[in-house]
Amino acid sequence: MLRALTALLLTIGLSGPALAQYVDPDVLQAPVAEGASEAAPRASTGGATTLEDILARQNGEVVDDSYRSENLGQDKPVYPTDSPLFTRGGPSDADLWRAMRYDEADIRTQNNGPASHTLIQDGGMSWLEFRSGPLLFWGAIGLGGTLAVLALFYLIRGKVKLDHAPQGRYIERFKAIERFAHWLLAASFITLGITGLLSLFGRKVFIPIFGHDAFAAVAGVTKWVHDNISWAFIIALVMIFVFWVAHNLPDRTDIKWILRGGGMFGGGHPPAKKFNAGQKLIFWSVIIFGTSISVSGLSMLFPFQINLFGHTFGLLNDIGAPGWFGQGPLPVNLAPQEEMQLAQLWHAILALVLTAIIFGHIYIGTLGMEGAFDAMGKGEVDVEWAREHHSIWAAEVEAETTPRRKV
Amino acid sequence: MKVFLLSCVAAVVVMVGSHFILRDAVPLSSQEAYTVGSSVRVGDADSVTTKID
Repeated sequence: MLRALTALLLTIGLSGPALAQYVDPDVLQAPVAEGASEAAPRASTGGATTLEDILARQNGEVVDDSYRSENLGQDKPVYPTDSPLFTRGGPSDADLWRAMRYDEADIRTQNNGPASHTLIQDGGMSWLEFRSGPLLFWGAIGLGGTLAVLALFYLIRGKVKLDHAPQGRYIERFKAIERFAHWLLAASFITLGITGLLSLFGRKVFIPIFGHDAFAAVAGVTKWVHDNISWAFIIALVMIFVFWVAHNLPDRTDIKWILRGGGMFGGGHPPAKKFNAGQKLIFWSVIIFGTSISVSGLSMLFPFQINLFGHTFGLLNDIGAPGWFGQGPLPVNLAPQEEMQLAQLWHAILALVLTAIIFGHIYIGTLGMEGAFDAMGKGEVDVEWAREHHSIWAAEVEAETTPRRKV
Repeated sequence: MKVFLLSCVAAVVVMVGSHFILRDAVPLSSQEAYTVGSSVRVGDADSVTTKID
């Protein structure tokens, strides 16, 4: 009898916790009525995260975080700090962590580094996802697609030959110092490109092939080279800007050159000065993209010292730029880490675009056009080449100097 | 060809020179970004202070 009573009491006693684990499947599967998904579930959790929030996030939907970001407790404790149980009514641990996460906490740290006041920065996940997903995918598509288009163009069009035989008489195209600046820029850019691609694609592409240890050694050297050779790129960028900016200002000959597709339409060669419209586009791409890549690179080389994006977003907001695309104002108060994340993405995107442009430049300067490489290789071009591709410039040079016959 | 080689040498010189010039100037970002033994406070001076180790 006693055993039977004990068994009954145990059954009743243990069924409570067991029943507490039970959730009616109908509750989980019940569709949420429209309009009720906001108010009712939020109230049911006392204002905390709901199942709908979690499911929405898992579906990649944007969930309004204000129920958390604005729920930071009271500024002051209800009771004086010297009273017993003084923390009642003041900020709880959860309030504190939320305040840290949403950068609302008044944080004092023993470390006075520029980013030490940001203890939680969950933007790092979206940065990581973009960097290891769309950036790599579209970067590979962009570079691979450019190479494929150039290969196809070469197969269809072939090398652009001179209309008449070379004359064997040469005029100076670029001085030695100009070629030095060009090759310094080229050597540093190619090195930066290779080391940058190794850094960007290393984790996804090279580690699976070569393993972690081998790639770690390569990555260490890659970073050192990338960081230090960047100064050669910046110096060369300034040099070519000074040397060639006057020759690259747009003028009316560029319109004719573009309308005739640089000679692809209408037959013959459109007249051009020292640089044609295509070369001017390359020049300004290198200057504008190269400068922006350099500045964003400097902000990564000196972390947290150069904050670019908060100021830039503020200027864009002032002129209403986000509204042109139907967007709200851009965030202005960025955490130092967010500045670094945006700098890295901007740096990589522009570098990938500039690399694709430079593929086109390398193609036309080597495989794509007869005699073009001599301009930068030797500094001199055949008179016939100059007359066909840069007729206005050739006439000016021939009026001033006599072409030199090579022996 | 000479100009090209000269520019390559210049790039290497700048790269090595940058290493020696900047090795003390470039901050150790990863060390600065992390905090150990930080105290965190919400609100004004009367508020609760929580120490995070």
